[in-house]
Amino acid sequence: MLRYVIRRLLLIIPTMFFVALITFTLAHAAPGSPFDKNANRTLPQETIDRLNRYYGIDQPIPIQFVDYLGNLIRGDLGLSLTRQRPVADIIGQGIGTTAQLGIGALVIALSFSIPLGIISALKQNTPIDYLSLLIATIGTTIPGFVTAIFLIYIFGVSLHLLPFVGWGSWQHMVMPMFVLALGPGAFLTQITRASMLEAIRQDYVRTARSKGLRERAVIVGHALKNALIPVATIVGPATAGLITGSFIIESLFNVPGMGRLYIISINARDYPMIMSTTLLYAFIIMIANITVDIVYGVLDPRIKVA
Amino acid sequence: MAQQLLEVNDLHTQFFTRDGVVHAVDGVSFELAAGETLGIVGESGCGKSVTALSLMRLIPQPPGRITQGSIVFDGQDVLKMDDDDVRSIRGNNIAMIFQDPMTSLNPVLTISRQISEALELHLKMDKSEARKRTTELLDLVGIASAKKRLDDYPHQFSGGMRQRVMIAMALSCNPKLILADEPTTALDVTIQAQILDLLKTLAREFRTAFILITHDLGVVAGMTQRIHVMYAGKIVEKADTTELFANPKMPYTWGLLRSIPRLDEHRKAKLVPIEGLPPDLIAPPPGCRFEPRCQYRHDVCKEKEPELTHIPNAKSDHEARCWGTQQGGWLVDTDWRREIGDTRLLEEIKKEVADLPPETKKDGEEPPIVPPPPVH
Repeated sequence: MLRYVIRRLLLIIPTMFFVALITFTLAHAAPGSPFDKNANRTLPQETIDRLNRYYGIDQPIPIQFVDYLGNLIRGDLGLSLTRQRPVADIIGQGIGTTAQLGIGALVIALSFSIPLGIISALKQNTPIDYLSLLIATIGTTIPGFVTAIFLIYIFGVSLHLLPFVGWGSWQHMVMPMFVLALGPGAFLTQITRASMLEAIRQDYVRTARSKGLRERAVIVGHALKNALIPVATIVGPATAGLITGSFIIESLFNVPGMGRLYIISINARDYPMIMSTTLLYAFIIMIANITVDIVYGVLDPRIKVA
Repeated sequence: MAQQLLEVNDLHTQFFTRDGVVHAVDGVSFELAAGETLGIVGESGCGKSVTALSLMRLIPQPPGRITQGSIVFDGQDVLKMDDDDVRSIRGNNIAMIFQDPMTSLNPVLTISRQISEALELHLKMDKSEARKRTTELLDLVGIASAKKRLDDYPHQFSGGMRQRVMIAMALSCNPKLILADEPTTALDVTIQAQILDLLKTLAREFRTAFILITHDLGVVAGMTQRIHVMYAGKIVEKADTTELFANPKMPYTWGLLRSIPRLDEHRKAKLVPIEGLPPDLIAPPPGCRFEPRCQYRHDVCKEKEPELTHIPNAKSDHEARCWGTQQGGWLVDTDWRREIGDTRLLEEIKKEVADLPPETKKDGEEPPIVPPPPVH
């Protein structure tokens, strides 16, 4: 088990290398540069050349890449080209907020989707089941930014119940977290329902009943653990998605997180920022996947984690 | 008659499906004394398993429902009990061994957990007592180095061993009755014999009554004291085992016996299948249910259903549901081994089957236990 985890962790290194290579190539392949014609300040060509030389952008791309990797290994993420501050500082400020938002959304998503999925499987084709289906359909089909605008209009603009710009107090967090949780939560509800429906029809559930167990013990002790195996596979990518996928929500609610930084950096061709944020996201996704595989092995004894 | 352990009276279990009401068990009555062994034999879909599940009230509801009858176990009607009382009987007084040991054990729980669960529940054992008892039970059913295997999962066991685990589970609370539903059907032949042997020995040792449900007359031959033959939701013949094999009194039983290979017969003798298909249990034939497939049939068979009655030229407790073998019937003196009935009728039955539209030609499927999930 430990060896497996170590091996998986070591595999992160080559993966990160390729992510870096591809991102670096693509970012530089995109037309434009950070010191292009800017509507606010038109720089003389001389200054642009000097800036390019200062930041090393005038070098051939392979050399820039090798330099970047060298710095990265030494723990230097470089300077932001547009903000003139170390990338590490900027990301350090944003990551906490994004993580808060993502983890909050995950907790919300899990705490409504799994119980709801179980209940609607147990009460199949009853009003409760249909209600959960309705919620799930809304959650999966209506994009987050539409829901967000609705909520901002109702709770922010009309009722003045919740602030909808910025971050800090719990009131700030309610709407973004909820909107972010809705999509993955709805999907998880459907997965839980489907796998629970399958589990309660298995022969071993009948065996459990034939032992005289209470219905609750049959469901929780026998069906649920089996039903959660497929759910666990989805939770991993969903977690990564929640932590990394909040670009739009962060922009809408003006949350000072990584997602917003990411978009801004891409538009500004801020190469060191693009590289660092992408690598960070890649890292989070890989860790999430490893965690899922470990949890999978714990849930399902038939899967040998080795 | 002495106090019976189990008295089933006029049991009706129905499944309410979209196509109509399936009369899976249609007026079944029988009784069983403490420590007695009974075989219930019939082809797939004739209501054997549903009968067994009904005894423990394990019929999935909906779509199934026990609509009529009584099941008196140990002096109490199971059908009138509240859920708590039924649960205190399940696994404790009546235990069940299911057909497929590959799917009947929970894949994510250890063997010891699955056996000790019932011990903790019914016998109020604590964890370490239950574990100790589980080890003894696994030893008893012949699991080698049982102690080491307690924390193994079902996938680490072979099919035969899993069925041994199921037997250990069934015996765990020392029940008065074990229902074994096709316990060896999913196992290969050499293992079948071992498992049957084990079941028989242990039931005798524990003085447990058991009902062995099977489609294979060969399986019950050496196993049970009495045999009930079921066809299309009804019991069609009741006799003790030796009597049934020596002197069967119902054309369906004759058909079953003709279709098992015998060691004492000529090698080249062909097995004779029962022609035709079991009837649709949504709209069963009005007369004798076996009439459409019977090569000895007369007009009366189509019109009126015969009762399960005592048969002439047979032991006193031998009963059959057949107009032909009843007092005054045309089959009273028929020797089933010699006279295979009207061959023209046989051809007719074959032709009827051949003329059926292809989709109805599924051989005896079990009634749908669970309706397919609705399409959203």
